[in-house]
Amino acid sequence: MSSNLIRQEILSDLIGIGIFISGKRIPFKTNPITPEKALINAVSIAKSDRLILQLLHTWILNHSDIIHVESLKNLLKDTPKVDKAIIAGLLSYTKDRKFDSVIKKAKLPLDESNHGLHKMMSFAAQIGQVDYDKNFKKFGILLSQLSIEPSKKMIPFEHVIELNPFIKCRYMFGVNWRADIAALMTLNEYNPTEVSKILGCSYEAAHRNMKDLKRVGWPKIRWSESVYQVSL
Amino acid sequence: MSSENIDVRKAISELDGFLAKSGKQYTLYTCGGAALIFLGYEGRGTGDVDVIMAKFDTDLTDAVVAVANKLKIPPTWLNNQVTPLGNRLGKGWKKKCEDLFVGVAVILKSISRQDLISSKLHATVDRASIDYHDILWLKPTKEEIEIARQYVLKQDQTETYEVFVNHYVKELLNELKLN
Repeated sequence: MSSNLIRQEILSDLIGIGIFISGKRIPFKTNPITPEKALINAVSIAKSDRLILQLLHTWILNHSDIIHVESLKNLLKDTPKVDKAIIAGLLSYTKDRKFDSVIKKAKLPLDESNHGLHKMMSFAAQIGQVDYDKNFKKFGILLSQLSIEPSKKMIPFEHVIELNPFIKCRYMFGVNWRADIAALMTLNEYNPTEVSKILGCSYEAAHRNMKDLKRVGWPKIRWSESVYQVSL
Repeated sequence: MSSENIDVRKAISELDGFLAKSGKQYTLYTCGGAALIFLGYEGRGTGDVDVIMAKFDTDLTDAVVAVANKLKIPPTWLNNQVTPLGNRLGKGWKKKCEDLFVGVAVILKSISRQDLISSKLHATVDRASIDYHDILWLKPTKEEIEIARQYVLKQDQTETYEVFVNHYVKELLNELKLN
């Protein structure tokens, strides 16, 4: 796949979590991507693109409450060390203790090549124009000080909740595997093996939660005499 | 367009549709990412459109909000936060603009190529190189970079500013192999 196509996919996934980037979003039915996967995938281009990095930074600061730590930890197992360090740097800004287990193992030693980051990511600090970002320096990454992007770069979150089934279900069920499994069940008829593979949860968790959700008729909900189709 | 498909061209077209009912005509001068997208730069810009305009009248404000509600995009998707740029570009900048979109009620123009390069270099220096890739995409000549450098130096009189500007320009010339 060409790097341009990969970039387009990554940007498409960022639209799906509410970052206001020009591009075309692939429907969740075709591409059921969790917010954590969208963030981690975006790090690959954020290493050479300060705007993308600052957009991720802004998003995480605004919405860290809906980041699923277990999902994140599972995805980070297969992620390059430098990408993990970048995610840790971004998460450390939130000062949320729930990310401690992710952050603590992400530190890298300082490296002459700055771990392959594009030169312009730290250029302003190198020439003395701004400070190095203190949070990232703790993880062995040299970056010019990050700043927050304005709200005009973010899609209003009520639209994101409407658009993104994972985010919507997390608001309904809490931030956990049940929410993500419920979201998947509204998209297609998956079996527990497929759910486990897509989300990275155990087969047992997939099976148990799907069984419980199906028991109440999810994604159809029966209230008294009427049956309502959950429309996400 | 919905939040599924963010396209500034579509948003401007919708704006034209809403404003056509007002019977008024609007000429909007844009710069930055939106201008680059209209000029063919895919896969980089955010979805907002910055325009140089002191104030939006009620019809324009209402139309912008209507487009935002219809397309489920931020109500600030069209905004005038870059208006001070109009004072920095010098006399006659409007005459050098080129048409990007001509509709019934809306004409969207881009600032000239040189002004785009100059303002992008200024933004690159001021925002710790966020706009650096935009300048690279424009593939400026050595002459265009020098004109931009002179423009940027006028924006700040502090002693160290020239040093920083020259660092960015040197980097740019190296990357474009113009040295």
